[in-house]
Amino acid sequence: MLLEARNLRVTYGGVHGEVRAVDGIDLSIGESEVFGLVGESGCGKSTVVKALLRLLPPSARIEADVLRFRDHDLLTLPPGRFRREVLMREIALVPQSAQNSLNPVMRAGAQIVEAIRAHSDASAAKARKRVVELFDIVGLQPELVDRYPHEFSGGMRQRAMIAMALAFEPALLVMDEPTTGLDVLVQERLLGRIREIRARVRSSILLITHDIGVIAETADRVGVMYAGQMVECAPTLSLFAAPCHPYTLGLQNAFPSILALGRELISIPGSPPDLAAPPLGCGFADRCPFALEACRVKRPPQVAIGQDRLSACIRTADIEHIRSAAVKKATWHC
Amino acid sequence: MSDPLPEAADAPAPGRLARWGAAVRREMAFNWRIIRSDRLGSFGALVILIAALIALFGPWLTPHDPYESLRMADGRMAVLQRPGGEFLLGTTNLARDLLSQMIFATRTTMIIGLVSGLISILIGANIGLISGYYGGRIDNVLMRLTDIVYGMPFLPFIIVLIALFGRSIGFVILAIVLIVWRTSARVIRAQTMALKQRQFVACARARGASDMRIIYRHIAPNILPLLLLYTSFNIAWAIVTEASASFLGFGDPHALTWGGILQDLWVSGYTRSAWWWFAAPSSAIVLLVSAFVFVSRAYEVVANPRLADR
Repeated sequence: MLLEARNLRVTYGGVHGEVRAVDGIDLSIGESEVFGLVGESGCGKSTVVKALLRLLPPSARIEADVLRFRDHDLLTLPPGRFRREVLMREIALVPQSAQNSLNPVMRAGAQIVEAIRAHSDASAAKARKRVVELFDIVGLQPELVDRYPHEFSGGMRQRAMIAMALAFEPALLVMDEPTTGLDVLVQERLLGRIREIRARVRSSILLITHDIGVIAETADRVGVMYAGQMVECAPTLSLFAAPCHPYTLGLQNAFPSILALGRELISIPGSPPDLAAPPLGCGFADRCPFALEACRVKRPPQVAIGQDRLSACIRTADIEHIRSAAVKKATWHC
Repeated sequence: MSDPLPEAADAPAPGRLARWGAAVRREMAFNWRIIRSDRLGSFGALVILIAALIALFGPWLTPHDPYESLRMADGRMAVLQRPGGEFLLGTTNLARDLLSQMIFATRTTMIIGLVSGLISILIGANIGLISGYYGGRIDNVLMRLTDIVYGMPFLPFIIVLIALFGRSIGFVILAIVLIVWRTSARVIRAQTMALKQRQFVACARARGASDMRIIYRHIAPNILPLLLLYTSFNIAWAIVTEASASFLGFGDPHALTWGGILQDLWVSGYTRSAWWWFAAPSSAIVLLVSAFVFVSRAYEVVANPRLADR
């Protein structure tokens, strides 16, 4: 197991009380596996990433039963060692909105050279050669090494960020919304590029997105997050073939599918709960057409369904019935 | 996992000096272009260049010894001569040549201006960067310190300093530095706070950059135009401050400065009659200070970093 997190909790302290943005998530990513994390805005996806990379503001608190990466215990690793040994070399981030992630007054290549030299003893010339190699991997011309970021297009900047993250062929590549803000054609090319990179580099990828389509295309395993909790976790194929949680069913309804052209898209009514005052029971209960009284009383535990599948719903026994009801619009909007 | 970058340290690549040279040339050309693009800026740069040359080669340029009481051709003392003839800027009541005095004073003025201007921007920039970047308690302490300095009036401060330690250039510089850094610290702090919210800073942190690296490699270059703006502004302020301190008699008695020449005039009591004695140092002060202000204005025009190197 490459990355293992058990019962990960992140709490933001604020003037209006505490907000638990991530509430007890279990996450495990194997070697050279692509793990997708989906969920709507504000469900805590990015907070999970920030917790892993220690990018949270000082007002946030991270707790977990287990949080380890290979043989590093990320909960106790001192900041200096984390910075030198883990970041870039073991875990590298392709940030959200990579468009603005390059320093505007430094040449793109120089920033990557700097990052490489900060983490190794490589000479400037050697680091530069590596940058040209990396640019080749992500499909950027070597001339671009000496250009300023404002001379790049959005897609090129994104690829430059991926090149930077790949510098040490990290064991885990964290991509936070890599396709957001790009048009569909560039998105498609980028996803192709990610698949290509996977073939060349044996890194695992943690892919964060709100776009189910991106997950379906790239991920091996998927975790669906809702209101700071993991509601369902399964291999991609089985998740899309037969979702086991009403929220996943709702998400699936809300996205167009090429297999069911002309199907009406059904949105999930309502909005996620206020995490400053989280509900006692299931976070989705208020929006779920299948909720029972029991759902609102106690938080539903994660139940294993078959092999390698987890769902946090107490009605998994009735899932066949729920699935057939969920495709009707009247079930959600009555 | 195979490591694409083995940790072998090899010798620094040859030609590092050449590359440094090229970088310095590029920076010079870049700054030259900023100044050139503004007409007043180029005028200011010219004035500063001339003043710098006079300061450097002063002792070889003076027609007379600035402290010598001179005689005219007919043997009389050259007391309070109008400008013209042998004495281009006239003479003082002690028959000293004003031009020679002015040339000598240029050096002192430039040294005081540059040294205190540069030290103050160094202090101000670092306090601003650290305060703005770390925020919280560090920010609070540093900014309250700045507030205290803002509350200190310059003249009483230098009077106390001189009363304690005696009149010398060093203390004049110290007094100026201790006062001037405050404005640059505040402005640079504000700019740093804006910049640290930018995505590229978070991103640098995500790839393991240390705080110092983020501050000096990523944030500082982004505020470079602002930094240069405040450098020339601080130098201008230092020159004015030094002149007023010297005029009031708080300067170094052994060093000739423009303010000091004005003080000699005041003490001699010829303020109303010897207009040339007054004209030369005051116009020199105004000219040099406005030259620095003009140059800083040229930088203000490009204070937006994205215009860089287009």
